[in-house]
Amino acid sequence: MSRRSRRASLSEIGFGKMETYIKLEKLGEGTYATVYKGRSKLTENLVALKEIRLEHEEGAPCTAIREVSLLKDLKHANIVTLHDIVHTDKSLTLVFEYLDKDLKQYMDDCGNIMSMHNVKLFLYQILRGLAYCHRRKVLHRDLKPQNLLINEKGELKLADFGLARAKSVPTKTYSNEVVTLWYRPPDVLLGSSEYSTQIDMWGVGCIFFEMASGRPLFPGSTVEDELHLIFRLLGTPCQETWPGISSSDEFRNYNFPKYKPQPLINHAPRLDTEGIELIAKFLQYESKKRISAEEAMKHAYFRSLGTRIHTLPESVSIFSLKEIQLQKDPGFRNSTYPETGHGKNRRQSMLF
Amino acid sequence: MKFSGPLESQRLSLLLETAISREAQMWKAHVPKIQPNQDVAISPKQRDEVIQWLAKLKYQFHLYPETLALAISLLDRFLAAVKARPKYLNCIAISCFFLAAKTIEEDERIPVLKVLARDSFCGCSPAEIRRMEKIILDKLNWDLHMATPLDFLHIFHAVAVSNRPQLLTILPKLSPSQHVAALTKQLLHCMACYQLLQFKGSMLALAIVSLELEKLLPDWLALIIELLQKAQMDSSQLIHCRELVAHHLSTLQSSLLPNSVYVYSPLQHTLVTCNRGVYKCQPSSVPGPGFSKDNGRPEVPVTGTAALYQRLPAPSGCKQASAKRKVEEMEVDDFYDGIKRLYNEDIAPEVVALENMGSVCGADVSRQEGNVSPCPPLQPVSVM
Repeated sequence: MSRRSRRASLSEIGFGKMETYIKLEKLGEGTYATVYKGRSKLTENLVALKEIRLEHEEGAPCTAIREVSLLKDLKHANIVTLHDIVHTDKSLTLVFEYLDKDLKQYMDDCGNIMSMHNVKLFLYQILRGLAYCHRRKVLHRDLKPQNLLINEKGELKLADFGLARAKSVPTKTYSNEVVTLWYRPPDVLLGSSEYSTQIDMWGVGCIFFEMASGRPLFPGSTVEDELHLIFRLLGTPCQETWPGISSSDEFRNYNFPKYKPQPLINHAPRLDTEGIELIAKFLQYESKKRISAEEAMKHAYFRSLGTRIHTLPESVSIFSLKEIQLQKDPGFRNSTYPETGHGKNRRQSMLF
Repeated sequence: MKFSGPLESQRLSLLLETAISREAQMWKAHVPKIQPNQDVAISPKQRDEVIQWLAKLKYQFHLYPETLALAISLLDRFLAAVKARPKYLNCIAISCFFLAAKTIEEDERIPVLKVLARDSFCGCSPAEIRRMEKIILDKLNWDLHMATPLDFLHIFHAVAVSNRPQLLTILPKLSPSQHVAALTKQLLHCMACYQLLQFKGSMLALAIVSLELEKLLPDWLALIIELLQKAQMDSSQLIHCRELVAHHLSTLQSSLLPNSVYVYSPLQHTLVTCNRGVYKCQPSSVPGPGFSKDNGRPEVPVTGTAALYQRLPAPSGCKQASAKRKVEEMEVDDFYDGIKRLYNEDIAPEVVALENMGSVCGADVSRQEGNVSPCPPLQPVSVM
């Protein structure tokens, strides 16, 4: 079939047309996009409609361009699927698969006491999606609980690639205004803009801790506050613990007190020894020492998940294995959805 | 970045595989709808010129080479997909450039559209660029994440350094990244050459890497064969591509030697000169080879910004006369707004500043010999 006739037939089916989708309730609103829950008339499936206004001076927003062009290339069980794009003069609508909630909301719904088994399953899925991106040299750069979507089966998917970049082989200088403050690595907080896939791994450590302990690890309100919280827990770095740090003007100017590192287990008592060991490998000051997503998946912490999980094809969910099952979270209360109170916050991530 | 170790080479192989498959998805046996008949379609020469212009914009706006490479790849893909009239070429090119910047650059580096439209002298309004942007996005199905020739250059270079660590010691004054930068320059020069468009980006990149390795390594051939196999490419095609690349690069080398810059000085020339179409190149201090009549590619050391101004047609005073003149190269009228602005500005300092940043393709300013040139003569200025 020629490209043109293929496109014509896709269009006859209803792809690329707004009429194909029924808008249901609004899920959230941001500065340039609004997200709706919707339904596809073609499949009767629920979808998330991310509607981006285009009365924009600068034409199509760069976040949308990056998100679409990268997502079209990323097909993986742990990465959100982009089904369709509807482009009209006034707006651009990205049609995503619908997932019930994000990790932030999931943690809220179980009163911040997750089953430790589920923590493991979620962490594994984050790493699995991330390893796939990193193999393709795609950096997410904005990992946070709000950008990790979860469905009722427990499948977790990385979403919101608006800040993501495809990175070619030589290191390039990137902006250091990436990654939400709480999940931003110390080297980036100190102004480094030379980074690689390791930039995403610090955030994974923070999210891992948050799932296991029920509270954010470093909830700083400013860059200085953020660094202060990090150093108070992990110890103020010095030339021995972080080679090169003493020559950083940025670091010297802050003049932080010399904190000693504290044992992580005191702050996340529910984590087992292997978990503690793994978390420490994510939270390395020197970015090159941080464990990669690929290596982390092989860590002893995941041994209890069996061996078959490592050989699954990319597009297959880990829950296709019968030995992999979600457990009931101890703190779970059956909040009816859509929720009210904190509803405003959810999916904020999708809105920038 | 560490280049050694089996893990790294495994990663590079995977990266190459992904890039090759992405390239295969988007690459069509290139029969771009560029035809010699310039009235109906964009000619190869116009395509090359517009790319040289984009190369200058890359310097002007301080953007990455990756952005330029992507802009060129998008432009060629779009021109292969649509029949475009020459009068839209500038608008298409600047829109591809804008899209590439939005895809690759950090937010704070992306040019503001108003400024881009104005300072590039592209002759189109922000609204026109926005409209063109939408057409391009729809036509290309929003698939802007392409494997460009530059991506392949990076991968092949990394594989070479990883397999032959001695390369690091052979290059006495260059770090690996400086070495890549030098090759990048060559590659971008080749991407502005229509004849090389028949090859896939991966092939072009490998041709450049192989020509370089031939100079540096005694056992270069073994490495290249390894790379050929990894990329599943045809060796006879590579040989053909290498020949064309070598020839094309020889023009780059010879014309890059001189260090002179030509600046247009509006005060000293009347518009009559331009109307008659006399193109005089003032004698320069450099023993330049002059025009080569056979291939239409001049080897005059005109670089950088001079070339930019050269692209611009006659000053506004010429407008009436220009109507009588046969202008084969481009639609002149589109440029007049830009020209007016140009003439209101004191251009000299800007020119020098731009020139200092160097030029990739500037040396290869295509100009038809004996053709009416809309540009007044140039003045040599020495810049160290």
